[in-house]
Order: sequence, then structure tokens, then C-alpha cells
Amino acid sequence: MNSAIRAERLVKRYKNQVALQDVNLDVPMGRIVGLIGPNGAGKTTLIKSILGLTDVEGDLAVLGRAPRRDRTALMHEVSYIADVAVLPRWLRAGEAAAFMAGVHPRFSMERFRALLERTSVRESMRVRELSKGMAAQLHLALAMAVDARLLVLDEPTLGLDILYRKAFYEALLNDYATPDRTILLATHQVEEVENLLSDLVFIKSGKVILSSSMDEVAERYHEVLVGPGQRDAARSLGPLRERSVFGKSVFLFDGVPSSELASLGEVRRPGVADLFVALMGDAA
Amino acid sequence: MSTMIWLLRREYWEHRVGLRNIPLITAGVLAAIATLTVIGASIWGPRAGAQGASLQAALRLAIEHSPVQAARQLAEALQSVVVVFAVIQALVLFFYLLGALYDDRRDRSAWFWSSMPVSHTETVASKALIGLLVMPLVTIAVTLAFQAFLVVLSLVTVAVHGVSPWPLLGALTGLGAHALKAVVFLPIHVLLALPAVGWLLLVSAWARRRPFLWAVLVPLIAALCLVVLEGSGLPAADLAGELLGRLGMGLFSNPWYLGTGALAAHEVLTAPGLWVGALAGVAGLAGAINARTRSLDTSD
Repeated sequence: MNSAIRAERLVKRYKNQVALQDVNLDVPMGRIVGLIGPNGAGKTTLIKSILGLTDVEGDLAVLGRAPRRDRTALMHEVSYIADVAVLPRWLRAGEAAAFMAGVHPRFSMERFRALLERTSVRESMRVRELSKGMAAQLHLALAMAVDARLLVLDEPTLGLDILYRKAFYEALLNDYATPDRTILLATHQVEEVENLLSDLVFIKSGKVILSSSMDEVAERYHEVLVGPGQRDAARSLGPLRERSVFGKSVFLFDGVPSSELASLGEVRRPGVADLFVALMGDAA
Repeated sequence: MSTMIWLLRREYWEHRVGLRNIPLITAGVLAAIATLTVIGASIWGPRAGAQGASLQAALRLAIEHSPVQAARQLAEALQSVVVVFAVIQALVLFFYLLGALYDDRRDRSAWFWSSMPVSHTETVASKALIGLLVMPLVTIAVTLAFQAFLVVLSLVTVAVHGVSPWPLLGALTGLGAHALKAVVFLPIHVLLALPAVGWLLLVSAWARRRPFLWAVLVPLIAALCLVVLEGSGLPAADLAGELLGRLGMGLFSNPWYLGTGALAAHEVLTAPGLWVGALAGVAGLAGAINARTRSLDTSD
């Protein structure tokens, strides 16, 4: 079993909408996967199915288990942050840690204390006394004190300022990412996580429209800066998208070898955000 | 098992005010009132005595001339305070149970709790245990402590006035016997409490908003509908009374009162309503687990 998450033909319907349509996904162990899509694309629904919080049609195995049926056993190996505002306001930081140490066999109090020491959160503080950023730091410390095989983060930095967001992702990458841990990170703020990820999953209207490793993305997609004279030549190769930057045209190509493109202009690796906009079309 | 202990501890952390502070503060205020009354009676009592008899004389008359009756009167006074703590328990439990599976959905913290390796069944069970056992045991402990305080206060008062307090000790042994009976009556209490606990947790897990209105109006309207049916051959009014009575009794019930003999155990146990109510309560808990599972499966 080397897939952390394997989903086949997942379908989820709510009363008046289809949240997931025929989703297929195979995430190997040890990857850092960015689940990226606009609001309402189905990111949270997919995460809820992975955590066994929602019923889905299709085959789904997470760490080799059926999440809906084996939710409690699965949660022994999973850490999950829904978003920044879900810690109960009456809870003290120390109580949260004591509770988790009591019910979670993989939670380490020493690790929690070491993580918390770097923040200004004290164990005697209640969540209601914390700023949004401090609450996020507390939640991250709780989640990272669990020696989980899968960490799931759903918009973990929503509404936080840039300093917190940067520190959050640095802590995640430096202290938590190891080859035997898989991290699934849902966000719509693409640029911030770009350098963190090993894999990309784009989701749009409940459908996965891209699922590949960053290396594959770099091989497959190229961006070329084309001078005015060669625009028509570039267009004839069927670009995915064309945009103008400072009088030059930037073309994004899917599957055209860089050797072919080199004659048109400077070839470079596209940013995830540009790729996202190109693939999402009007939905972005 | 240890998960359940942590879940109960979690409930205590969240509800220290209802589970600890309110009963303790009530007992404290009552103890202060009782003490001040006794002191006041000692100071002004002798002069206020209409027949010119001093408090001391009255106490001597009561205790030395009819010690058995004096002890019984003290025991009755002790029983009357039980009602106060029963009302406190009912109020605390009503609001605790209504919020138990609703508040954390409203403030979204249910998502935090659902990230723990704890099943929905365990979550609901921990909240039911607070209602069925923990709060009644708190009520017993506080009632017992307050009654013991009243006995000591009486003995001291009597002794201060130079009257032998020993005849009153009979009231104390009665207290001890009641405490023992309370343990024996615990299983019957659980059966009595199940309808209220099951119903309120079901509403708490199921209601999207205004659990208070659902919890109160549904039984009231059901009872009204039954009353309208009176005369159709059904014992409708009796059923309506049974419905509301069983729900109310569940909140007030406490093994302690069963032990006092106010409710005869065999009459309680042979009433079909007890068993129907307990079964309905278990069904309510199963419904609450189901509603809890579904409540996290929404599109928002």
C-alpha cells in the first residue's frame, strides 16, 4: 500500500447541487499536495470524504482504510485543521493539549510544548483571549504535535496576515514534512504555497482538471515570451492562453516541447497561478 | 474507557458554571441565610418571645420533653431543602442538554472535535452520562453536604443554649441511610431520567436553529393534541399528563429522592410509563447519534 489517498469515481450530491463529479485521485505517500480551486469548487467536500465526515459514492481508500466506516481508527493516524476559526472559544490551550494527549495515541505533549514555546500563546490562555493569528498558531501546534501519517489542512491561513501565513508554511515545511508523511493542503491562495508543493491537484466545479507532480507540470507546461514579430507563429502552435506583459506577449503551452518553443523567445516555467488561471478559464 | 473519562472532563471544563458553580453558590447562599437566621434568633429571639418564654426554654421544652418529635422535625426540615437542589439540577440539565450537541455546531468547533479519534457514539454517550449520572451525583453530594452543615448548625445552636443536643443525632443517622439508599436506587433513576435526556439530546443534535423552541413546543403541542382527543375513547388526558410528566421527571429525578420514600420503588418500577419512557429515551439517544453524523455532512 503506497497510496496515501486513492479515490476512484467519487460522486457527491447534495440536495440541490453536485459537489463532486467522477473524481479520481491517487496520492502516493510522502507527497505535499496542493488541492487548489476557487471557492465552492468541491475542495472541502473532497476533504470531508477523505476524513469520513461525509458519505460519497465510489471507491475511496485513505491510508488503506474506508474513511466513512473506519473513521475513528483512521483519525488515529490523521491530523486535520479545518480552518482558523474552529477552536472552541472557552477552551484553554493547556486543556486542548491535555485532551488530545488523552484521546490521541500519537499526540506528544513535549512536542506540543516545544512548538508552543515559539509562539506568544501560553497554556493558561483561553482561545477567546487569542488573536486570530495566535489561535492559528495554537491549532497548528496541536496538529503538528500529532505524529500523523496524513495531515489535512483546509484553508488553514484564511484571514491571517502575510507574516503569519509565511511563518505557518515555514513551520509546516521545516518541522513536519518527512518522507513518510503526506500533507494535503487545500487553498485558493496559490502563490503562497507554490514552492511548498510536490504535487498539484486543480479542482473546478467538482471535477479534477489537473492532477500531477510539480516535475510533470514543469515538463508539460511552458511559458514563452514572444516578441511582436512571432506572435502568429506562436499562435499556430495552439497555446493554452495568451496574455500581454509590458508590450510582450506571453504564451502558455501544454505539451509542446521546449526545443520547439526556444526559437519563439525566452522559455520559462509557468507560475502555478498563471497555470491555474489558464486551466480554470472563466471560473477563476 | 480512558477516552470516555477525557470526554467527561471536557464537558466539565466547558460547563464548570452549571456543573459546579451554580450548585455550590446556591448551597453557600442558603448556608449563609441559615446561619444568619440562627444568630438572629439567638440575639432577638428571647426578647421577641410572645409568652415571655426564652428561646432556650423553647428548645429545652422541645428537645427534652419530646426528643423523638424534635429529631423528626429536624429531619423534615432537612428534606425540604432537597427541593431547592432538585430545581437547580433541572434548570442546569435543561440548558446543558439543549446546548450539548448544538453549541459546537453553531460556533463551528464541532469541526475541531471531529478531528479527534472519537466516534459520534462516544461523543453523544459522554453528554448523556453527564445528564444521567454526573449531574445527579453532584446534586446528591451538594445536598448531603448542605444537610450535614444544617445538622451541625442545629447541634451547635442547641448546645450553645445549654440544652443537650444528643437526641437530635437521630436525624443524622437518617441522612446516612438515605445516602446508602441513593446508591441502590441509581439504576431506577437512570430509567426515570432517560426520556428527558434522550429527547433533549435529540433536539440538540438535530435542530438547525432554536433548539429551545423545538424542545418545549413539540411536547406541549403533542400534549394539546392529545387533550383535544379526550372523549374519543382514548385516555388522552392521562397520556398527555404522562408525556409531560415523564419528560419533567427526567430532569428533576435523582436517586436521592427515590431513597426518601416520596416515590415507592415498586410503584415506580411497575408503571408501564417508566419502561416506555426509558425505551423512548434510548431511541432518542440513537437518533441523536444519527443526527450528529448527518449534521457534519452538509454542503456548508
